[in-house]
Amino acid sequence: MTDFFLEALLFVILLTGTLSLLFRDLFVSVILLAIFSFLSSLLFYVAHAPDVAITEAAVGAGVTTLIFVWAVKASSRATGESGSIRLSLGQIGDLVLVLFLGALLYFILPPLEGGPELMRDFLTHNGYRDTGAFNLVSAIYLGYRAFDTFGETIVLLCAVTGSIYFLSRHG
Amino acid sequence: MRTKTDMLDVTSRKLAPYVLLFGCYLISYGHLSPGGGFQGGVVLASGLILPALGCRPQRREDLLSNYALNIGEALGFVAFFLIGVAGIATAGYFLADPFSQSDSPHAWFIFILNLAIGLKVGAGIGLLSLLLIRESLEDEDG
Repeated sequence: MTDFFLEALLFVILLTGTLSLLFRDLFVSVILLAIFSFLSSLLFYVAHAPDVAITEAAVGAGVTTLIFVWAVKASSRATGESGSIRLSLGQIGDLVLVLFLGALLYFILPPLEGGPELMRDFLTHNGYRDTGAFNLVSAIYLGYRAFDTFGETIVLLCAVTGSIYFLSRHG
Repeated sequence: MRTKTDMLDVTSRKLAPYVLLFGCYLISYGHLSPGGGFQGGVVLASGLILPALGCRPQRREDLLSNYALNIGEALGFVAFFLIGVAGIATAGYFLADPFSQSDSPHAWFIFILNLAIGLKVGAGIGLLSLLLIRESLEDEDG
């Protein structure tokens, strides 16, 4: 049952992603991308990664959609002239290339079984004792790797500062 | 331009406090349950954007001030930095856990860092999005 649900979810995600590339009206593409992000967050939740699911739902389906809608509104709404679906020879070539790469990765990569056991066992045994956090994701990104998180906040600070500078100069 | 209907106005105003509350929950329980500073901060930011998108313009102005969000973001970063410096003073290296001397494990360090990151991310992303939509909102008002 779960396998069937997962496969159906993956198929619909693939479908929304492909459709968002094909529609000529960019608003339709943006809304399809929001659905894509929401279904991805559902997929992460089913795969026992609720932290990533929350992030994907809030960033992918929320803030990114807002920014894309703003960008589409600020630029011209539709690409090209006629018809609601655009399908050129180059796009079909891209599609074939992506499918080929996917098939290649499917045959090259080893089947996924569990993940790195050494790190997983270390975290389940020592994570709570070292950092005091039950949530092991928090234990990693604020306990073991707090310095990386500090760098990440600097990156975010720079991004927001730069965007504010350009936006306030523009408006 | 299009005017905002009563339904949109009321829904966004009534829903936003719950979104903000959920963001605070995600931040403050990040060490126990799924969530944390980044996730809760983005939820806080969407709670700030929701009334800006849905409410009538005269109500929006007194809810949100860009200056306060600016201060909030800077404050979050300074708090993170000061906690790191406190690690130098107590344990000898940057971002060391200042509370780690006691025997039983506790998550005060992660809790405080989550609060700082949540404030910073929420204010930063909220400010960015509000600046982005300000232009189109002014079109709509005028």
